Amino acid sequence: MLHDLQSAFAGALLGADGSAAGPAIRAGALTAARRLEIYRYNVLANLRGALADIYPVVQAIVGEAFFRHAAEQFIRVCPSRSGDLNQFGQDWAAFLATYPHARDLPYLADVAKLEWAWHESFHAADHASFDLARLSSVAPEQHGRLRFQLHSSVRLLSSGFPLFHIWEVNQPGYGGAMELDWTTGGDHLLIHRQGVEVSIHRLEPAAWKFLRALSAGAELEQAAEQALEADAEFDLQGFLLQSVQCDVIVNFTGSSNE
Amino acid sequence: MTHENPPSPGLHGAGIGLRTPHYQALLAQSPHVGFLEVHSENFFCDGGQPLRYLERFRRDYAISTHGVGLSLGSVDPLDTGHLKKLKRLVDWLDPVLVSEHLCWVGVNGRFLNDLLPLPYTQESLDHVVTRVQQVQEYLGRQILVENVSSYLEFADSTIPEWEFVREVAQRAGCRILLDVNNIHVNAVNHGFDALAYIDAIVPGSVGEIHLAGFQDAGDILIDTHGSAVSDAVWKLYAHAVRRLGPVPTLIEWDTDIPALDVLLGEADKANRLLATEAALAA
Repeated sequence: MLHDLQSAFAGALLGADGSAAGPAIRAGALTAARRLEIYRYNVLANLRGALADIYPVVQAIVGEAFFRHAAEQFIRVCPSRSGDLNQFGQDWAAFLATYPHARDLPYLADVAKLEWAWHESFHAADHASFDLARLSSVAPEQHGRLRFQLHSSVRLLSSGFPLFHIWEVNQPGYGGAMELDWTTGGDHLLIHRQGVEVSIHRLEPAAWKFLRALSAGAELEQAAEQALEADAEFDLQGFLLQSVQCDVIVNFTGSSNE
Repeated sequence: MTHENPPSPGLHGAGIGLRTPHYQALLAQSPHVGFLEVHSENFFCDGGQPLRYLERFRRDYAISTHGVGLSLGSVDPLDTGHLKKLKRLVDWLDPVLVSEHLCWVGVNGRFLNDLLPLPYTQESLDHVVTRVQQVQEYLGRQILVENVSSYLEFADSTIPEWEFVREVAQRAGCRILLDVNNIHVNAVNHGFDALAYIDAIVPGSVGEIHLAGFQDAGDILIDTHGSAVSDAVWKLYAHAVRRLGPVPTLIEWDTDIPALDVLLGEADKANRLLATEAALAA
């Protein structure tokens, strides 16, 4: 009984079949349809608001009306799967990639990926900073076999579009040049959090590949090989130090004296 | 599980909902408020800014957690992932109160993320009582359940809402978070006597009261939490305090969030009323 009622009501609100819930509702001064309409409005406004909070740049690019329409389609196709609204919207990029009305904005799905990465990074676990003293106790000849652990907030994203600049010009208060240079090719981005502040950085392909290899669990030597394949001049020492200082790399395993 | 109903420890007077637009003003002014209430799910994250701020506020204020997503009334199995995150938060924060809503928010794995009303039937009552007990057992502590606002009544309902709320608390061994604004909204929307609702609630069973603003849509009242508490709700609140005692009271404001001072003004108003009623009762 309760199951039938909840199923019919949820179906009516998500637009599958509005008629099934009607008889379950006491009409009174208002029709059952009007009462359902209020709930439908609240549900859509809530979920749309959650999406807009996570995806402000997508909304800035497409405008409020477009966003609203697309979001309502999305809510029906990819409904929320959690009572925690922070979990809602992971599939937004995949939805936009095939959304017919967004065909003229081929970079939009990548923007959504970037914003989801930012959202995840913001909520990821904290870590203590890298223990350099511990590293100095490892014999240098063993360094190549170490596995470096990235901060939980690290996300690595590559795009065929100038994603960083697209993101930048759509930030509130941005005062720089609005022109985008589409000829420069794509971006390799690092999204990470230091303390509580999430930031986005453009990396050279070699550096990006190095971090990606580390995140896949590669040993330092293998990761360095992949980076040097991309750029024989890659400054491994410098980048490694920088990554440690910015809490991108927070730990290591694999030394024999552990 | 305790079936006694002691006064909520560490909780006095009126509190306000903790919302991000007020973080800086709260830290700068350190105003005196009875307690701060957070939406549990906003702190389900593994780390980062939300938990950092919460840790900071916990140093100066008593904190209660208020869940919107556990879906106590749903026929779906309890979401163990959700419950686990709630327990992690509660164990870490040790809040003065933990509350949830007497509603369902999703079914068949699909979530609407809205506080949807139950049909008030024996079946619903048995179901919710079992669920509340499961949650209390899992968390290892008593919870409060809140009466929700609604824009419809189900044809199947056989139990008046106030009896349903009272029965859930008595049978599950939980306490009630009595939302006086929701009682007003439902009384107008469904044509019942709000005073009679409050008179049906057992003194001692209410651990917290919520106050908020609604919006009049012309044909129905909508519980928007987007304006000041109305005069009608203040009157009802005075009646509730007279009957139920000086219950810790929260001012909720979730949309069109005003400056912190406006919220503190509402909390002061609740405090004055609590003091007046306490003086009259003495």
